[in-house]
Amino acid sequence: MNQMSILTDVTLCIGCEECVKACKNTNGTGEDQPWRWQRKIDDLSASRWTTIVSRPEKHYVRKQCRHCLEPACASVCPVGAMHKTPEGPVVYNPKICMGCRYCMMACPYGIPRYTWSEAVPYVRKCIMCYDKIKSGELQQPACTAACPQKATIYGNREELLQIAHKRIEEKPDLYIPKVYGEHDVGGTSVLYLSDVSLDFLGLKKEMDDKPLPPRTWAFLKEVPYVFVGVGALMYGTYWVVERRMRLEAERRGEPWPPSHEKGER
Amino acid sequence: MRLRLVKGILWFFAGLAAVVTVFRFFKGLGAVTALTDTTPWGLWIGFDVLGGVALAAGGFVIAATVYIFHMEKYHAIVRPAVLTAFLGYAAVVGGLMFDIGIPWNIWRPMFFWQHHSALFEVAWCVMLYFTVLQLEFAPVVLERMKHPLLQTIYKIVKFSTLPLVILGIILSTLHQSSLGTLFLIMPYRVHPLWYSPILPILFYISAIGLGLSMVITESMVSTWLYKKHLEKDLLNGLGKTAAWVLGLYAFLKLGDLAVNNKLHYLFDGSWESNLFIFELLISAILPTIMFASPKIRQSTGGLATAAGLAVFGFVLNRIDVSGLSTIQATGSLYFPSWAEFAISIGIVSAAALAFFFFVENFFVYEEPCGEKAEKYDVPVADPVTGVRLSWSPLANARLYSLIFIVAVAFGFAMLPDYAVKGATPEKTPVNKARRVDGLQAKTENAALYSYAVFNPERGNNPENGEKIEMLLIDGDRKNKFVLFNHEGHQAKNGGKESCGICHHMNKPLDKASSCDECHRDMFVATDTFDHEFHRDKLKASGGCVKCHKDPAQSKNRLTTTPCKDCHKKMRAPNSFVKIAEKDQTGIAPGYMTAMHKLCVECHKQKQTEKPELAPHLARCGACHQGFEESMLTSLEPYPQEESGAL
Repeated sequence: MNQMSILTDVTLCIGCEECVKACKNTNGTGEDQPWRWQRKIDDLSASRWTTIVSRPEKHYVRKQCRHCLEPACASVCPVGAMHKTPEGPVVYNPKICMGCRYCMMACPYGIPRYTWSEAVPYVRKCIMCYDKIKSGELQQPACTAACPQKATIYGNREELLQIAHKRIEEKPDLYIPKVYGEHDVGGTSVLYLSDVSLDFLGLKKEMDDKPLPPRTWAFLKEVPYVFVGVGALMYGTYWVVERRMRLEAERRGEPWPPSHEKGER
Repeated sequence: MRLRLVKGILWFFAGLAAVVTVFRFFKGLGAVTALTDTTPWGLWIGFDVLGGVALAAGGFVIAATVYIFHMEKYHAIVRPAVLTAFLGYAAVVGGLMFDIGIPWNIWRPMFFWQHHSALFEVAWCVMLYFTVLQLEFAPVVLERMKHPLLQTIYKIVKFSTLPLVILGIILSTLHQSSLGTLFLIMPYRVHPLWYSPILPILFYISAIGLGLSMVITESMVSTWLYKKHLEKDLLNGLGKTAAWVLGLYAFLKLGDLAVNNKLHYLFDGSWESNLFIFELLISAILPTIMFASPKIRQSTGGLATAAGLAVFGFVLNRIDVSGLSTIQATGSLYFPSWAEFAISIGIVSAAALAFFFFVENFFVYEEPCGEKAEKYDVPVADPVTGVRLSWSPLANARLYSLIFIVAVAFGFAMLPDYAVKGATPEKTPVNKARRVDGLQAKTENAALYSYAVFNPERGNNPENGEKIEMLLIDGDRKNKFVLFNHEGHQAKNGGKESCGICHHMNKPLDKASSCDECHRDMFVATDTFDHEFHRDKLKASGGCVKCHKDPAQSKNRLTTTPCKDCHKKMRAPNSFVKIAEKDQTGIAPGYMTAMHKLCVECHKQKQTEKPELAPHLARCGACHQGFEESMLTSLEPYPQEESGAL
């Protein structure tokens, strides 16, 4: 698995928001405004794809799309507008989006945002600068390039995991001995090292390591069997009941089918 | 008369919805709905789509009863049940057109196959089943058509009734359950009481129970409206079946809680647990008990109550699963805007009006219904005055269009500003300055209070009662203050008689003149940037383009690289006016303190380290006019000017 990833070390972040600014400039997300539908001005919005969340005692946590290995948003999209690229980022194609907002409901981290103010609205979220890296315009995402502290770095997921585990080994007293995103909801491409709990990033404090899409698939994989099974069951019932009634009618010497079933009123 | 009244009300709601429709499509979802990023699905999904599909389940249940199980006595209610289902699905599709952001892309799932998406499956099934329902209902319309071609089509459709019914049952089974599958991927969003691995099965069984209850309700309403004979025998049988289905549902629901060890949530006293118990009572338990009792089933009131409770309960269930049960996870309270209610009710009204149209003009029941007075009569003119006295159908149409237009006007008048003009960013109200005494009330603010009232210049001591009258300027009431020395300003401006300088000379809508009207230099650029110095220094490593990235652009502040991009360490500690701690009271440094403490301190320190840079580092003259540059290399305190020109 050669996925491109981001590792954010919360202990190094000074909260300067250079990443936010770089993201806004690179992706041309427009001006931030206090819209009614935002949680608060410094949280994510359609014009702010990454943000610094202040936590007690001068801890700054960069919030952004986690680019899950098995993304719920991509699995629920009925048209495939949201999809996971082989390189790692989960990207969005506005051209085929129909605006059902199921991705926003399904995301366990509550990341995708909507341009509610537009007459033709779209979903917005971090795409790890996929288009610009693909075209060679950028070597790495704007946010990681902009970080003056190297608190957030870009690289191969395997290598970043090694770096993360090495840092934990070197300073076991500082870090919580866990790489956030290594296993959460099946693993994410955006990893965190932290000395404070990052549970607040998800919708629930305790989220297990099982990926979400199989929960739906458990039922959806039965669809062909249900289709054939219900059809056969219904026709079988029809045949049995009809036969029994025909025999009953013949025994009584009545005509079959009865006149009112022939269609005339 | 009662029919005319009901229709009038329905036309009114249709008119209201018509107004909102215009603004929904021209101004966007944000302007019309109360939806937010944290609650992206609201009333339109919960009620119109999830509720609508479930309410329309009567179609396939009755079709199965009659055509598969050969229960011929229910033949009389097949047509109304299929019509209800057909209009129900039309309402669902209509509701979806409002809810999805880009409705003209609704056909996309047909060509972009995503078989792992529950919504993809629902889209296909609903689309196919809507077609099946149209074909199932088509004979009712076609049988009245005389054209030979239409008669041929009629015969073909009639011949394929059985395959259509079976296909309808298959598709209904699939998508009624898949609406539950939609929520399987949200274990962290949906409250544990409603989240269940068997959600699809619960949705399917409840749809059958709700379908039966809805057929009962719909029969009773049309009987009441058209003063027909109530087919109590039929409804009795339906009620008996409903008792079994609803009983099974309640059993499964409680059994599921028990198996998954969630029973403790049921009695933890949270509002979710109360809502769940209420919902289960009115959707399943009470109707089961009522339908199970032959005595209640026989009484019109009992039947109506039981069916009504089930209908209300299951619509509530769908709204709970898709909305109310997610509040604990998202923490965002959503209440639909009235425009959302208007669309929801308007779509139902339009469906009901279409129902009446079919019932009155086609053989949905034994014969076309409708009050005698509503059928066309030759208008009779009063022989003396010539005034026409009877109501003609046209007169009804006139009444309804009047009601519709009144509703449109009323709706337009009631629309909030943001719906008409489009969504606008929130405005934060600017509150008045407060007296510093406000800080005293809370003990944790004691230190801030003494800081605020203590004036180091005069050396007064608040404990001896020597205080200065300070105002806290905190326009957004976020407990981050700027201190304003009211007493000091008064004294400096010339005592008691000077109020007019700030309070009377201000602009019409202001209470007081703003600071910068006197402190003109508040927005003076105070940079100490030495262009020649930088030019010489950077000549070797790239020259102008080092800062002026694009030589083609005019060279100004906006197009030039900011200082901090190169001088990464130039930032003083605490130089970010950023609210580090939410909900914590704090006093921001004043203007002078900010300049002197945050910038000057560091510049002075640098002066000692690198004396050769001194003239470039601190140029007090930028703010303090009249200072000579030569004075600045000394580290002595700056002499104060009496005039207070700052």
